[in-house]
Amino acid sequence: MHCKNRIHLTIVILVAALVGPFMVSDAKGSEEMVEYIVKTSGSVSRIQGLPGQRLRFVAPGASIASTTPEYIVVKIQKSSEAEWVSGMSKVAGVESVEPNYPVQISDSPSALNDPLVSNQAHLFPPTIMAALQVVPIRVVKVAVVDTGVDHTHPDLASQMAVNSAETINSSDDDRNGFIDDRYGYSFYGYSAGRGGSDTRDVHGHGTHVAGVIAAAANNGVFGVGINPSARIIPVPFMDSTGRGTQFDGAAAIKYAVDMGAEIINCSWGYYIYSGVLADAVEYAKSRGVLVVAAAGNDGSTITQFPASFSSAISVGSCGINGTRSSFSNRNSEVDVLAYGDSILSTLPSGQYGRMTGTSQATGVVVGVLSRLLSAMPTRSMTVEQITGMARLQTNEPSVIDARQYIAAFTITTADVAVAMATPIEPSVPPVQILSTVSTTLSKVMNFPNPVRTASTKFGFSASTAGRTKIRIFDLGGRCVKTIESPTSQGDNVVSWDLMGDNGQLSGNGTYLYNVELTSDSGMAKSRGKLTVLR
Amino acid sequence: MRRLGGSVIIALMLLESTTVAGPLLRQASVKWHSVGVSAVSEPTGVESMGVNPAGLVAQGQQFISGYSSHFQNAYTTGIAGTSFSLGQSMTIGVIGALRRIDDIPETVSVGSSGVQVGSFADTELSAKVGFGLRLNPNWSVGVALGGYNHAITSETGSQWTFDLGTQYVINGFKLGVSVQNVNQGAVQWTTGHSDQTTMEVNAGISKDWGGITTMVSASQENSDIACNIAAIIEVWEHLVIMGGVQDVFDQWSGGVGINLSLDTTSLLYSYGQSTDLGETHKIGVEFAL
Repeated sequence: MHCKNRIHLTIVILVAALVGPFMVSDAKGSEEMVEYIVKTSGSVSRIQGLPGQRLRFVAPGASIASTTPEYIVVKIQKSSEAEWVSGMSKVAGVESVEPNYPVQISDSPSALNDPLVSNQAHLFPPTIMAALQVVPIRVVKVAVVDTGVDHTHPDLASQMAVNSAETINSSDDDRNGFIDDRYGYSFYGYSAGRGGSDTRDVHGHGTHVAGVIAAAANNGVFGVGINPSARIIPVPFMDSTGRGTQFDGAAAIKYAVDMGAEIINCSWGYYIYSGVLADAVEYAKSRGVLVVAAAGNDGSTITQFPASFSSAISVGSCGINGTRSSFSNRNSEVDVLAYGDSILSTLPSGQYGRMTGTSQATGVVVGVLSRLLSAMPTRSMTVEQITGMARLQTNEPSVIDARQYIAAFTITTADVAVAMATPIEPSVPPVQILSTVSTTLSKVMNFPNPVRTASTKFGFSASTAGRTKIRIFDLGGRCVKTIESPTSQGDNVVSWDLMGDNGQLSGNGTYLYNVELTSDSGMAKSRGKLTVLR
Repeated sequence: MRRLGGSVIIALMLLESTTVAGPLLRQASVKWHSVGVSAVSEPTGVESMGVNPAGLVAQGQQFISGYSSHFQNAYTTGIAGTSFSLGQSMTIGVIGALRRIDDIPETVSVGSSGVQVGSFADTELSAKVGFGLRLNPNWSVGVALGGYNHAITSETGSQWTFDLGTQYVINGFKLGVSVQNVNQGAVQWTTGHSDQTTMEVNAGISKDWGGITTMVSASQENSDIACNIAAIIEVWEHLVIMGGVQDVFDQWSGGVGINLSLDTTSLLYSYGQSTDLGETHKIGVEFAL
């Protein structure tokens, strides 16, 4: 994003002020009315002293609802809102004009009837609690470009965005180029001529992120998402191992934009710049759609894309205490840190479970931003303005459009910024694809490969400290070597001198190996192929 | 593998094993995958050259073909072979197996880390020509001459092998002994490197208990001994189920197979499960000529 080097990002939460001026119907019930507060520069009597017809001239049908020594609450017809505000602002003695927003008891998570809410620790820090007080007034579509979403999950079934212009009939009813994309569209294998309407989750990652954003509230089951008013467009492009291609990812982003997503969640990435992906993110930006992406889970400083594109928000992870998670990538492109440790959310087949990573932190940010957008009466913001909500303070008073609603009625809470945007200290290397669970292995490879020297090294990145067992098998399935070692969080390297457990040097050929990480929080396993060629 | 020392179940001469041509034919075999080395006393047909060439003579003329996906598709193998009878007591056969491993990551060291820069393939080809002779109704012998080629990137390695085997029936028990890679040749690589190989000796005994044949075998690799057990159950005259466990005392792995015979054609399927590496599936077909 712009101002990437802005280290302290200030999140502005628009509590009740964001919901728009208090709207009522007049006695006849035919015209929607809104209330505005007029602040005078002197005493109300000066304004009250104005001829009554003056108010009516400015806004036909306007009436004074109440007065205090300094303020007048005026009820006007919504249809004449803009004209009235403009005219009233010019009245001598009027210092400001602002909407009279409704106030209601906030949705404290603990007040919900979803039984697992109390276990969703990421909802309770003051920063998120503040966001949860924002009252959504409209649906915001959020695209989860990932591994798919379990549409049938009890906490997500009601949260899916349905393309009502499309029916499942093997034809492209809405003529958008995608057949039967009623519940999103799968771009997995799109570059190879595949893709399709089956957007069910093949991994679990996408369902988890979707739940962080928008799991249903007050339905009496499981937990809750940060913005239950959001509706999810599932746009999978990765397979059951959490891998996809940048081309397919770019196509998925473009599709999400065209299908009306206002925010796109990209809890994935790769460390090599991609032009096609950059074009897709720019396309989103040009349509006022925000791309929020995970910074990566390698605990390094290498950048990852799409997170590091200037038009995307790059999200790192922090714990509930606001300190950066050790696995979270850290570099000057990271815009914000959010909670990503052991997040409890939805999993396929009606399950709930914990995952850890910048993927989950990205979901948290998307949840907060979409909740803020849900409080906007209209969708008329640029990407800069959306991101501005999350980080900028502004005091410019105005009341006409959504952009200025934010400006005029934000309530700055520095506390919000503390956990959502903590300082990022720059330094350190490597990266790869994400996809996280509590105990994960990434970047598993042996190098060099083929092994032309007397030894090779196994490199891997562990999400948590533990113990690793590397077992090497010949192609008959016999284990020829077992290497066990303590493992630290982050990057690890284990050497092998090509000697088998029987003391014999391994011959030329290919071997299979398993890397198994065991920690207090679980077990992760990865496998690979190693070739000796001396 | 557990060292059994002198308390071996079967007191047969056991030598060392190797890891080249013989294992590839055996790993690619559909028919004998599930029973593995246990088939040393039992194999019949052209695929017997992967375990004991003496089994060639028992089947006569046939053609076989099979395809396998090993360990959750970590690699694939294909096998094809044919045999012809020369009179009542002699059979010659030829068989070839191919193993292909794709998408092996090509990585380089960058500082203390590794970076993938591409991928490459590993291809192995093993072929054998064998001859089986029935000396009398209870005793048969066989020999096989094999060639082995292994290609990794632009480098290749090759080797010649020579195998011997015999099967003998006594009091209803079948005894089998095979010695593969008798010549103990080295795999010579174009890199200049050579991998010395050793003989592979398999010995076993089996008996048909009236529709159920049980088999037990042992093999030796260096000073370690592996024991294998298997059974073949004739469920119906056209349907046979096979199952076995390899290296039962240590790194055991199991497999089951099914053989459906229809006139001169047999359809085969075999399934194996490794606790560490996952599933193996094999399909094959046999034609009696």
